[in-house]
Parts: sequence; structure tokens; C-alpha cells
Amino acid sequence: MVWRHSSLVAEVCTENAGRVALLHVDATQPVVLAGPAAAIWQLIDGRRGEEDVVADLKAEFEDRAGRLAAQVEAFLANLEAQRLIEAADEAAK
Amino acid sequence: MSEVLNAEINASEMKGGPSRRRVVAGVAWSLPVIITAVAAPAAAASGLSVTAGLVGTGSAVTYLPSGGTGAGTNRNGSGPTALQLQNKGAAVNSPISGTINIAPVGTVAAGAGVQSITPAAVASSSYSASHAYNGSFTYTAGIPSGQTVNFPIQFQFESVNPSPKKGAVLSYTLTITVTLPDATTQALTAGLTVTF
Repeated sequence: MVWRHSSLVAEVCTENAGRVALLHVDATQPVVLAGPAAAIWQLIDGRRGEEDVVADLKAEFEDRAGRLAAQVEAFLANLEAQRLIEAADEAAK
Repeated sequence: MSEVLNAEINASEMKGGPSRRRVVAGVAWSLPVIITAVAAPAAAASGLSVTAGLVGTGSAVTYLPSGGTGAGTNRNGSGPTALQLQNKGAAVNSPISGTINIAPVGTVAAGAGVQSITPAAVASSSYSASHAYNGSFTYTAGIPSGQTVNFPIQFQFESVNPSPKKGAVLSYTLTITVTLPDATTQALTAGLTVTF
């Protein structure tokens, strides 16, 4: 699955992108992503697949518990449920 | 605004604008989370003090088919039995609203959702292509000062064709946000499983 940022989401991030604030146009409150969550957000570019995102994160983070891939998948589903991201192929339709 | 930092980043490394890749290198992985902003000043001024919680997390619960009667037999699983709001402050006389998200853990062939959370009204329920559930609820009856209201949760499973393999145990993460009339929000999470 390839994901992209929703076009209905406004985004503000720190200079090094370690912290990202997001607001969906239909939402009443912003949400904040930090650390690994912000890193995942930055890797969602409409071109990388989930496997590519996981591979990049494994290169950047120390995953001693071996839960990175499953947690990334659940997190992406959560982002989609909150309409912060959308499937890139569906967005192209 | 509340804060949950997932990783510690040495502030001195940020000087000079290094790339994100360099900053996070070597940082221990931790669970990525979405942080919901909370309007703290409004909460302090409103006099409201409602604590939200999930009752019976990990209990045996029944999942009804999402397609209504005849769409399939019930499924067994686990999860919380109810949402509970304890009012320790002034009476709440305006609507309380919230969102319900149920995100699959790993790849799943069907989703899990909430069919009812009485006496609140569930609306805008939907499943995404990856079987994540998204819904909202509103409770308008108010909560007198000092009272506790329980909202029994009736879960459902997504009726899909083909259905998941018989006996498959699928896992999900339930996230419920509760927004009080003073615009403060509380987020609750719990694990769910459904045996198909």
C-alpha cells in the first residue's frame, strides 16, 4: 500500500521535522506527531510503499523488541482512520 | 497542549539544521502515537471535572454482524464492556461528543466496529479499505454533579465477502476520544480481539 498526505490536512513542522502539528479541515482540534510518529509522517510521500517506510525506519531506529513493522502498520491505519492520510492510488482516481 | 515525546533528541544536535535522518539515528524505537491537543485553559475555567474510562478491558464480549440481522452469526472476542464518565465537578448540561477509531493490528480481512454505545447515539460509522473503523457519538442527556454514567459498548464485526478464515483471531486497537462541553478532550485506548 502506498500512502500520501491528505490534501485536506494543514501541516506545520519543526525545522528538523522531529515534531509535526496537523489539522484536518473538518476537525476541531489539531493533533501532534513526535519522534517515531513524526518520522513516519515524513516518510509518507505518495511514492514509498509500506515496506519501504518500514525499511527506512529500521535503518534509523533501534528496534530491540522487533515490533516496529506491526506498530507502523497499525499507526498508518490509525492515520487513515483519522483521515490524515489516504491511499495514493485512490487519490489519483 | 499535552505532550508525549516518543524519543529523546539531543537538543544540541539540532543546532545548525542537520537532517531529520541524522537527528534520529540511533534513537530507540517506541510506539508511534497521535497526540490530541487539549485546551487546558478552558478546562480550568469551566468548573467541569469529568473523568472518562473504559470498564472491563479484556473482558469476553460478543461481536454482532455489521450488516444487520441475517448477515452472519455473532462472533466471540475480547474488549472493554463499557465507557464510563464520572462527573466530580459541576453538572454537565450540554452535549458530550466523541470519536471512535478501531485500527487493525497487522493486515486483516475484516474490521471491528461499534454498533451502539447507549445512551449515546453513534453516527458516521464507516470502514476504510484497510478495515479501519471510524465513527462518532453524541450524548445529550447531561450528567448531574457527582454522578457516574455507564455507556455499555456493543461491538460489531464488519460483514465482508469473503469473510475471514474460520477460527482466525484478529486484533485491533480501540481509541475513543471524549470531548466535553468545555472543549477538553480525553483519549482512551484498549485492545480488541475477534475470533471469526
